[in-house]
Amino acid sequence: MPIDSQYLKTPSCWPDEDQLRLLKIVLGRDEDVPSRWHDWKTRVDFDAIDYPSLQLIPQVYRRLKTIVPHEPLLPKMRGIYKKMWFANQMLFNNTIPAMETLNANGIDWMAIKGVGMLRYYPGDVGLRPMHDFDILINKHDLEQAVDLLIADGWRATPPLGRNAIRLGTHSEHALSLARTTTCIDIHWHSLHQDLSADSESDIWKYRQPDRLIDRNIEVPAPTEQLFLMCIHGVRWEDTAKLLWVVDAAMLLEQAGDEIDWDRLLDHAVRRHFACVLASGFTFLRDDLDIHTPAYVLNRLQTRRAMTFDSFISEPLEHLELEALSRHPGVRTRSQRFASDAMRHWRSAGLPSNPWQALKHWVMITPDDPKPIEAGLRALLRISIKWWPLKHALGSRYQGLFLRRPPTFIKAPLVRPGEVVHFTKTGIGSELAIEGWSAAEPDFTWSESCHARLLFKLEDDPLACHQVKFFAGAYLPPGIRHVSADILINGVPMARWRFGRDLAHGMERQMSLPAQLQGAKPSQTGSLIDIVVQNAKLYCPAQHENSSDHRFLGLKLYWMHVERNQTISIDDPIDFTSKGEGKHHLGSGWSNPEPAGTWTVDERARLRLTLDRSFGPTIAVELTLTPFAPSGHTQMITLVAASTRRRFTFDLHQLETIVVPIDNPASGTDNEIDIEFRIAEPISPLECGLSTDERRLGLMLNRLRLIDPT
Amino acid sequence: MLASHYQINRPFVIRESFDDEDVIVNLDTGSYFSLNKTGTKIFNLLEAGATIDSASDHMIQTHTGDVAVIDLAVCNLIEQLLTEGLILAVERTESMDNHDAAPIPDDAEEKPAFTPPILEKYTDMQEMLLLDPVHDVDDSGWPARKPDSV
Repeated sequence: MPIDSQYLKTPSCWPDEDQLRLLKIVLGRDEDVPSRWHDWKTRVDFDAIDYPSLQLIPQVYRRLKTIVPHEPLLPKMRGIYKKMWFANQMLFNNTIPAMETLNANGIDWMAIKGVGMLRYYPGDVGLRPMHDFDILINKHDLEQAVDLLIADGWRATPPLGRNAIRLGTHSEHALSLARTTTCIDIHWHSLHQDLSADSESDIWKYRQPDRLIDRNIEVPAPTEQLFLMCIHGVRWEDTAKLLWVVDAAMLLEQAGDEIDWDRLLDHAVRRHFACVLASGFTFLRDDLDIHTPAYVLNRLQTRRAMTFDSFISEPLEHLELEALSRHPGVRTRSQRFASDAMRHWRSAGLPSNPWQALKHWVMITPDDPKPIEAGLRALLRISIKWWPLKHALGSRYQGLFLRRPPTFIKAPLVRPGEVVHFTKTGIGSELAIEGWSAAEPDFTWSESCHARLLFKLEDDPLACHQVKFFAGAYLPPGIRHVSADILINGVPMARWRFGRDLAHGMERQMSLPAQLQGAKPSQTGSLIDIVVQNAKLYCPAQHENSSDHRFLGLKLYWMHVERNQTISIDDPIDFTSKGEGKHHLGSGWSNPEPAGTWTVDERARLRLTLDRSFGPTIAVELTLTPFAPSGHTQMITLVAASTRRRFTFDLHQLETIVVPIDNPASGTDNEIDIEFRIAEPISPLECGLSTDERRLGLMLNRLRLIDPT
Repeated sequence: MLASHYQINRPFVIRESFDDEDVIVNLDTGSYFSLNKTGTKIFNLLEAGATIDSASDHMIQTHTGDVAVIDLAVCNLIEQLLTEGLILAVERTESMDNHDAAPIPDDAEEKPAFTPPILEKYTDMQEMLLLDPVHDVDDSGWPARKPDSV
C-alpha cells in the first residue's frame, strides 16, 4: 500500500515560524505588514504553501491589496479568496433545504463551528473557509433527523445502517451526511473529547439568533463559541491548525464585551479542558499579543495543576492504567499514547498517527488484520480485542479496542542535589517514561513530540525548588534552529531554542510551578511531571548521509533538582562565565561568556528568588550591553511579570539602568520574574561581522536588587 | 421582453464585488459568472430600474465610441443575463430607483472609450470546486484554468 507523504510530516500543535508570520500579517499592525510579507514571501514558496496557511490567504489578500497593492501574487490570492467565497455560498445554498426540513419537523438545531463564526467576520463569507456545515441537535432527535435527511437524498458517510447510528450515539459525537459535493456534520456532542450527558446544556441554554442567506438560524453565544473554537483548534495535527487563532481574535474583537468569562472558566474546568484552554490563551498572549483577562488565564493554569493532581497521582499509586483511560485525562492519555507509537509506525513505513492509521487501515484492508495486530502487540505492549462490526456497519468494517495490560508506573525518587544522568549508566531512563529513546552513552533523545519525565521529589514540598538541565538538540543541515516547550505539571515554563551554537548542549533551569509550592504533600507527594513538547522532529536519514531513521528532537544529558538559589538585596549577580548568574537564567539566553550572557531570541527571561519576601516595590539595577553594530541603538522592553508593566529604553552602549518592580503580593512573595523583549535581534553573520548565527540583542553583565525603602 | 425593466433573480442569484471584478453566482445551477467593468456598470443600471433603451442611452452618453456598437453590446449582454437566469424581466414598480437620475458626466469631462461588456461563464461547479487555486490556475487566479492543466 503506498503511503501518502503527508502522513510522514511531524505532527504539530502550534504554528511554525512562517505560519506565525502569516498570522501576524492578518492580525498585526498595518505598518508591519510590508516587512512581514516580504519576510514570509522570501522564506515560503507560495506554490508549496501548507493547507492551514492557504486558509488564511483571503484575509492576507484583504490586508495586502491596500498596503502592498503592487504585489504580483495578488491576482492569485484574490482567486483563492473568490473560490472560498463561492464554495461557502454553494455550501449554504445546498444545505438550507436540509435545515428547512428539520425546521418543518420541529427538530431544534443550531449552526456551530465555522457557520457559527461567520457573524464575527461581518459582511464577508469568503474570509472564513469551511468544509462542511456543522450543526448541533439534541441526541434524542438524531434518528428522526437522519431519517428525514436520508429521505431528502442525503447519505451517511461512511454508509451506516440504523443500528450503527443507534450504537454510535453512545460512542461518537457526530455523523456526516453528504449529498453531491455538500456535507453536513450532525453533532449531538460539540466536542469528540466530551460525550457526557449534560455536555451541551449551556450551549443550548445561551444560544443566540443569527441570519444566514436571509434565513433565521441559531448559533452558540460568544462565550461558548470561543470555548469550542479554541478546543477544536488547540490539538496535535499533521500541520498545526491556524484558523482557530484568527477565529479567536475576530471573536474577541467583535464580541469580547459579551463574553462571560466566569462561564467560560466553568466550561473549561467542568469539562476538563483547562489545560487546553490555558495553552491556547497563553499562545495568543505571548505570540500574538491577543489578551484574555489575566485572572482567567491564572485560574486556568492553577486549575491545570490541580487537575493534574487528581488524574495522575491516584492512578499511579492505586489503579491500573486502564482506569486512567476512563478518567478526565483520557484525551491526554490518548494523545501521548499516539505520539509514543508514532516512531514505530514510521519505521514500519505506516502512517504517522496510529489512530489515523487504524482508521485508515480498517477502511481499506479489513481482511488481513494480523500484521497490524502483531505490530501493535509487539511495539506497544498492548492487548487487542477485535470487535467485529459486521452486523452494525456492514462487512467492510471492523473496529478494535486497544487496552494496555494492567501496569503500574513507579515514579522514581529524586533527592535535591542529586544529578540524574540520562546515559546508559544513569538512572534517567527510569524517569523517561514516554517518548524517549534508549539511553546512549552520553544522553537520551526525545523521539516524540510529547516526551515525558516523571519523578517524585524527596524533599519538603513547601520548599521552593529549581530544576536544571543540560540539553541539546538534533539540528540537521540547513535548519537554523529548533525549539521545544517545557511544561512542568501541565504549566508551560519555558521555550528552549537551539541554534547551531547551542545544539551540542546548554544548561537551563526553571523553578517548579508556584502552584505546587503551596500544595499539600498528600495531594501530589511532590510528583513532578515534565513534558518536553518538541515543535518539530527531524530524521537524520532524511537530511544527511545517515542510516538513523528515528525522528529526533531534544537530547538530554543530565538533570539536577535543588532548592532555589536565593539572592540578597544589594548583592550583585555576575552574569559572566565565572559568575553565578546562570542559575537565574530562564529561556532566551546563550551560555554565559567571559563578558556576560547574550540574549539569543526576541524574548529572554530571568527568575530571581529573594532570601526573604519583599515590600510593594523593589528596584532592579541592570548593567547591559546592546548588540548594536555600526552605532545603531537597540530598543529593549523590560516586562515585570508581576504586573505586566513595561519599560522601554534604547541602548547604544554599555549602560547601567534602574527599573522599579511593583509587587502586588507585598510581604508574601519572594519571586521576581523579568522578561526582556528585543526589538531587532540580529546575528553577527547577518551584519557581516563573523560566522556567529545567533540573533543577539543585549548582553547582561551584572544585576543587583535594591530596596528603595 | 427587452423593453421591460429588470431585477436580479433573487434569492437564486447572488453577487459580490472583488475589487474591479463582479462575481455573480446562480445558486440554482451552480454556475459562476464574472463581469468586467463595463458589464458591471450595465448590471448596476438594470438593478436600478433601467430599461434596455435607457441603459444603452446612459452608456452612449458616458462613453465614447460607435453608438450602434454600444447599443448592440448592451442588448447582447442583457440577453445573456436573461438567458442565464441572472435577471428577470418585470413590470416597473415604484420601488425601483429612477435610473434617469443617475449622474451623467458633463461634456467637459473626458469620457472613457467604450469597451465591450464581458460575461464569463463557468458551469461545472464540481470541477471548479476541485480546481486547485494555487497550481491549476493562470496568473489571473481562480477560476481561470492554466492552459496546460488537466
